[in-house]
Amino acid sequence: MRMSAAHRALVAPGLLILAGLVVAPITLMSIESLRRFVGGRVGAAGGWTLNNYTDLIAPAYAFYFWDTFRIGFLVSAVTVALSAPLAWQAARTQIHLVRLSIFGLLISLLFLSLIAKLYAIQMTWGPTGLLAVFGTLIGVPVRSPGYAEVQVFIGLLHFVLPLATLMLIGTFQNISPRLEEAASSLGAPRWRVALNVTLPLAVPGLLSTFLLVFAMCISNFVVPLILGRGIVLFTTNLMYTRFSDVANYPSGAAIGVIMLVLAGGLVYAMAFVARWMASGETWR
Amino acid sequence: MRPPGLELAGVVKRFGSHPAVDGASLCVQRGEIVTLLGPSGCGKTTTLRLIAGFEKLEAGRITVSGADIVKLPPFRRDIGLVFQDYALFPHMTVAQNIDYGMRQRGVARMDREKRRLDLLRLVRLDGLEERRPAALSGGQQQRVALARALAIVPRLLLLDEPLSNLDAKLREALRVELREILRTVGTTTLVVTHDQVEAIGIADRIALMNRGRIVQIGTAREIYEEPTTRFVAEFVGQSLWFTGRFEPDGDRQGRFFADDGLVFIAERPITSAHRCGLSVRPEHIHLAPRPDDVNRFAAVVERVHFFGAELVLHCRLDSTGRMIAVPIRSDDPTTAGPGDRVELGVSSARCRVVADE
Amino acid sequence: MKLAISGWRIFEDHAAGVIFRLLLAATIAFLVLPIIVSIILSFDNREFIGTFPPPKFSLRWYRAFVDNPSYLDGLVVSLRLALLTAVISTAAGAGAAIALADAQWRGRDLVEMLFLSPKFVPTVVIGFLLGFATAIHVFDAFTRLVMGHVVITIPFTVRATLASLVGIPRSLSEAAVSLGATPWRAFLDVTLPLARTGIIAGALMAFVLSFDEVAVSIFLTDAYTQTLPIALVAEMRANLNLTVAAISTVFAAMAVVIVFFLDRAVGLDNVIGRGMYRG
Repeated sequence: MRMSAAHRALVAPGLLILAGLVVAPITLMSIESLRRFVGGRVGAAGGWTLNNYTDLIAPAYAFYFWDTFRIGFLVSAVTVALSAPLAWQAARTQIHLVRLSIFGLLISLLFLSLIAKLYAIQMTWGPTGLLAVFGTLIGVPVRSPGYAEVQVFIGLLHFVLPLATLMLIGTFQNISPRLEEAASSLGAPRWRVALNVTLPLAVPGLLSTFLLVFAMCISNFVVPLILGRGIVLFTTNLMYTRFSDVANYPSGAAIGVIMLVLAGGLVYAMAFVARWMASGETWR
Repeated sequence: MRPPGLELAGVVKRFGSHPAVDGASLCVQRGEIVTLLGPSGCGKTTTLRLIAGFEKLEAGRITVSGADIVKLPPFRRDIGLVFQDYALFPHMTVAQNIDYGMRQRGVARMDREKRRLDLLRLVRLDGLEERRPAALSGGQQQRVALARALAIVPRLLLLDEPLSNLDAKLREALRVELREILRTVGTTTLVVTHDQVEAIGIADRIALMNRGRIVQIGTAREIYEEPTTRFVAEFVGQSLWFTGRFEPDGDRQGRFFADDGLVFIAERPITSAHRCGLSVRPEHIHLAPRPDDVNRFAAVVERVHFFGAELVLHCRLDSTGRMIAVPIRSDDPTTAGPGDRVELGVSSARCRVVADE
Repeated sequence: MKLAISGWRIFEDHAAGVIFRLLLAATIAFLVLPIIVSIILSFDNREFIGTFPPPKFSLRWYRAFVDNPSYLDGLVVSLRLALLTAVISTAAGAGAAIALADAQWRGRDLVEMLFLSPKFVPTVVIGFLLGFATAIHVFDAFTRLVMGHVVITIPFTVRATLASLVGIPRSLSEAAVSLGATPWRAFLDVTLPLARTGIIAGALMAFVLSFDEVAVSIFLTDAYTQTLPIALVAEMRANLNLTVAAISTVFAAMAVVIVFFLDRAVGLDNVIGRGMYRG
């Protein structure tokens, strides 16, 4: 069917907004990233170059990318490990109150301002905090530079755990409890049921949750900004300093392009997993 | 005397304020196949889950081969389960599914293989070891589920509506096969179903369940010919129901005074329940009274329905105006047509006074 | 053939069960504890940040919040911004969702992808894009903020509306039409009320996202127009004081209120949806 006038009218405003505010700027940014930067002048001067990209491979900058991915990966792994048990419990419990409480808690956390959470983390795990002793326990003194990374780690966990748990509740709801009961009746204790039946069947859901959490972590700006104390910086923060401190738009644009490509890659991976799940071919 | 294969005594389970199982008692002998038959919502699936250990018992006792199993977690009960939707592990092959229980028990590979092959031959699925459940038909999946449950040499086998997920033709064929397999294996078996044909076809004895209680247990013939309650009479086979009261007349018979005015000569009831009624099976009503038929009522045939091998004559009683549907065989010489006058007869033995519950 | 399950397994099972429950408790405690600490500290009477728990309680930090002009201005800006964003984003997004749900027309899938695409772009990049593209200061800061926030929230309003529209059986509006309603009336009377839950959920998400947004705002604010989160971030990087704790507590209360509202309007169970097997 062709697009009717009504359809056109409904879709037009949104499309205009997107075209004007996303598509056009992305094009501009991509072009800008190839321009040469001259310090002292706002924006780019003359000439085209690939330096903006090659500069980023230099160790000083490569570290930003490495930090971002490393921490993002660790957080994602821990998130999936912690959210899965909670999600499974919420999916399986027959007690209405328990289910409602977990939902209520998760959704409240979802709507709670990230800034409030980060502040709370500073108050709890920071130098003056109740759990400051945590630093000593893991061998990273609270006032040392290394502790900033610990705090960023905790901050990101708080950011992604509620959403990851909510997503995984859906995954576990779609695994029949009869399968777990069958394994149980055949003689498997509960941990074996989880290992042999529940987890293998949850793999696609766990994988797509991991990918989503990873994408959220590496594109996060506020957590490293506040908890990183300048010691831990993500590529997102780097992009901001390019813009605000030095007005080096070309370099910032280059970082932006790289981040877009990465985000695109992750989206493709997630779509792939989603198609794999939906095809029903998983166990053929 | 050997302890029974399965015994339930006063089993109670409530969901909120609703008693799903309300004092159920049952005794299955070793090696016997018993069907738990009842309408949906009667508590039969809950009973099954209580025995398997997936629901917690609130009151009563459950023993398997004489041993109380209530304190055991499900994975220690040695009970084979076949679920309604088979619950085959989709990420494992047929062979791995069947092996699963044996692996939990540390059975060596050679022994596992041997037992697996024996079972596959028993359920007639040779050669399908490496397939995955998704590549099997419904009937095949059911057989794998059965083989998987039998692999652990269970003390008790529980089947939940084993044939309900199959289409009608397949159901018939598998019903016969299922009974053969169960008899060959000889394990104490409890089958839950809502389908009376399935119940009669598979079991040695049938236990009828209604509203959380086991109402009557017996062979198919006993249940059919000697129902103790209205529910049993109406659930298995057809039954006409008359409310009223019974007055004994002698030590074996009496008269039943139906509320609508009819009077029947009927046998003394075995039940001592307060409220009783009269149950008569339509197929025991004759269009032309036979010598034994002490109860006779005049009627007019209003409609005749043709069903191939059978006809159903809808007759209106002269006295009360009630419509009675009487089935007869198509080649029955006593047949009549619309407008004909008939005298319906039924013997006293076929008029049963049963509890109204 | 040895076929019994060993008794050791029961102990194993119990131990595993205990560990599992401990893990659950630890995870929940991890999530909840800091927030409780922060809430309690917000009532701390002391002027400095001391050890926990506070010896005396007062409302001084709440007063400090109300007395601080930059916070209050920021709050006003944030509220106006979030409200405007929610309205525009819902109007554009829900409108588009209606067109997308209606039928399969040429290019439909592409348009849907387009509308959902901003979600996959890191918000920093969007902020940078807009900050950079509008560096010529044609628009004032507030307008630029609205633009940025609308862009990042549109995918959510579209998706939320689409999700609830897709669940409405076509036969309902067809029944209305067969009874004599024009397609437009059928839409207004039948489809739209049923899609209400999705639209509300989308609007709510847009509001919350905008209210809490930092990464986009930080590129687009100027000295005169600051959102509350930006003001807070500046404060938190500079020094720690408990006014932020008071504001955080207010945020926490807001979150609870929102969740109640969501439950009344939509039903919490419906937000998650039921899987194929329940129970």
